[in-house]
Amino acid sequence: MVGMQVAEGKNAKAAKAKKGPVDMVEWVLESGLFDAAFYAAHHGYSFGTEEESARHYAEEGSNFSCKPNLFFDPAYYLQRAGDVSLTAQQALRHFAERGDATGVRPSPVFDNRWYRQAYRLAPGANSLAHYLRHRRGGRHSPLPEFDVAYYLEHNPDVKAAGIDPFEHFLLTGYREGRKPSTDFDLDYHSQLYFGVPPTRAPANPLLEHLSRRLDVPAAAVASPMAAPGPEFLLAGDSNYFALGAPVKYQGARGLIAGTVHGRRGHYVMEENSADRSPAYWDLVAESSRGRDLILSWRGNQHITWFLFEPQPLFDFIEPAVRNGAALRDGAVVVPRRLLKAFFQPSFEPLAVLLGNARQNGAESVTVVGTPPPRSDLALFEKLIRPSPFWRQMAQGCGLDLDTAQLTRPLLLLKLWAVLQEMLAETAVRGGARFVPVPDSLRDPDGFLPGMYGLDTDFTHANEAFGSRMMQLALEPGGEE
Amino acid sequence: MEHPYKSVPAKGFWKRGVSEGFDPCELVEGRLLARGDKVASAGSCFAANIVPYIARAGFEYVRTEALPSLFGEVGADNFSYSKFSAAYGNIYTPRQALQLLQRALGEFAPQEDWWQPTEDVIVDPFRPGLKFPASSIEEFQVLRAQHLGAVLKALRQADVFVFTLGLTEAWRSRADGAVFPACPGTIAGVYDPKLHEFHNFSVAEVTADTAAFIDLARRVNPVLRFILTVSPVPLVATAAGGHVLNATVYSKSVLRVAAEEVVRSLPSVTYFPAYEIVTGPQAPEDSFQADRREPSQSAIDRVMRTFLGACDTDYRLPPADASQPLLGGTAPGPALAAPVPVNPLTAMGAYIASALCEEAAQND
Repeated sequence: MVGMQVAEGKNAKAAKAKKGPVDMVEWVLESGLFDAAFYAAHHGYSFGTEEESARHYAEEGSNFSCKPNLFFDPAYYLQRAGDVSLTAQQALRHFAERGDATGVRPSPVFDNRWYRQAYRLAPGANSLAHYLRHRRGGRHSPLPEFDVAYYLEHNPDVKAAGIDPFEHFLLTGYREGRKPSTDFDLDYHSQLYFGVPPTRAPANPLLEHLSRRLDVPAAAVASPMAAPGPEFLLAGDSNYFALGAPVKYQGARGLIAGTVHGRRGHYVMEENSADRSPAYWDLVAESSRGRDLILSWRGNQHITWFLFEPQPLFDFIEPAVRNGAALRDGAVVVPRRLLKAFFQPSFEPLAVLLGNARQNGAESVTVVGTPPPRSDLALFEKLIRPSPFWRQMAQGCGLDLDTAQLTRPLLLLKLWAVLQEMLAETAVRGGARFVPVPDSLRDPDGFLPGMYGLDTDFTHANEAFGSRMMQLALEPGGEE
Repeated sequence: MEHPYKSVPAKGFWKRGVSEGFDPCELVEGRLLARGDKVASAGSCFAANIVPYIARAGFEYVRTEALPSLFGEVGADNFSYSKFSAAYGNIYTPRQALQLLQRALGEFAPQEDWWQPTEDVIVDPFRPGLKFPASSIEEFQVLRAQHLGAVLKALRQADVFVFTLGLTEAWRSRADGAVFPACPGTIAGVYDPKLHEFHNFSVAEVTADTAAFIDLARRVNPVLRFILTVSPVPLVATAAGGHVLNATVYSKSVLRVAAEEVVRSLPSVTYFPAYEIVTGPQAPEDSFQADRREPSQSAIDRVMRTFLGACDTDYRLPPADASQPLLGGTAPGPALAAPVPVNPLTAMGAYIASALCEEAAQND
């Protein structure tokens, strides 16, 4: 990857002295925004010198939305910068040169508008660079919710250790019930969000609070200081949003860093969350080197083809589903193999992708099962049937929504079971592990329980479902 | 008194009937199909070739076991199962047809009822080339019951049943005489001389089997009319030991004689001379393709022009050179190759699924 060449800017003088354009490496080193130690530890790299580390960030990491310091999250920033042409690689420089001055927040854990006022910064000064310079001095806080003086005063052990107080709070302090400030009631928020005291909270209540207040997924503010090990790389179609990929993503195709269940990794995002293009899957394969690739592959073929009751009616025997041998009266019984042949084309690109990921040196590849259908389609009746938009759409298809019958849930469940078998077969043939949807995420008949469904969509599962699937995917041998 | 040949019509003499002006329409007496007739068929592949023609001529071809069209090309097979009224595939001998009907009526249950090459592959010995064999014995039994039900349904729905006699040579079970459509071990199964034997049916057997088939079919549908034909397609191979040409002529001769005997003995059974049109001395040189086995497109057109000429229809097959070939080699006819219409149900399902996939990206 070629580093970004910058011909002008505040480092132009230094560049002239070296008789060449200022390169991004120098800019990074001099920006005051790059924390080499954090960068190496956070992304699991090791570098000989600070310059090597900066070079890696400039030429590679920034491309993949890696964080240059704990307080700058390129993905978060890009969503707020209001410039859709901006790439992840340009984000840090944009923040330094324009965004900070106009008050664009660099991440959930640094409130630059508040900081600028609280510490009366000169107009030209960069708030985050200022904080990074002073953060260990015990007088500067990154957020109004965290009061560094208060924290040090009440935690003399932290003061004695000379460590960054905010990092201490983020990582371990909250779990020991240490309060971040007089304004933020840790116990109250922990009970509010998790129903347990902070000592037993699954995540930092302050981060959960920021996630809700700033309207970003918890994954985007999760502790960036997660356990080491190979990073995960999560990619897939629409079902991967439930697994933790940033929803409402409005950016370029690329990698967004995130942490799930204590594991660091990246989500491969398609431009503006749109349909996956071939270039997206190429990026997945290219980025899989040395990472644990976790894939969510399609999973809505049964809805695509068979949401409406097919004419003539057909049915088949599905041994993997309870009552799977019950056949609809009057339906043409088709061999199960016919359905596999029918769905096969939708798995062929997956086989190619698995091969490419292996070839590119993926540490491991895991294919995750997709959610089963729900046992009723009440949401269809609520959302689709009465909707003027869908009525018009249906008319265009030559379909009358008043009379169109929906396929019975049992047949959709049987079709889903065929798809899961094909997903598993494709995964295993491609040298990948398959994580099936466990019984604990299904009702006794095998459907998706209402508690794991979304209110606005009957073809996907919610984050609770995705979180459990992701956990199984991240744990070696994590099938239930 | 004048001798009998004085009153024989022109077509009764070779010179006037063939040498000096051959009119194939004179080969058929009476009407084969009445307007509105529903037609079912079985037999060798030649019985499948008629389907697109009679459909074009406005007759309904009875189909009781088609895969739902929404599966499109995926469902298409290459062993002729989709070419007939029910998915029995090619039926080469009348014994096989008779046994099919006996099985459908619950009067015969072959001992070799399925083959199981691997745990999840269950093969029907009587439909060994099915593209999608059953995955379990339970599924096999359901599919077989559906198939045998479809056979009876086809006979009930049809007004006319066209049966093309194809072969006299067959492989059967030593245990109970069940006739297999293909020698076990060729398309599927395993050949075992202790279980399987070769049999070359005699005129008496073919006649009796054909008559018994018709009798049994009329128990299902008493008013069913029959048209018998003999396939002009020679044997691929003979297991009788001699030259395949001798075996072919023997086989076709037996079938032709048996057909005649049945026509004479049973009411509402007609013989249609497809065999004569393609293989007779009057037939043009181009009646067969280069292998001298596959009838040419022009030969099939001649057969069907004659056939439809004896049917109550306004449709007339265009002249050979102007007509779009209805059949090309072994490719399926136009009725089968027709593009699958866009299904409003699946089109709408796809829209909703893709819109909700986009929406998944908008959910918190």
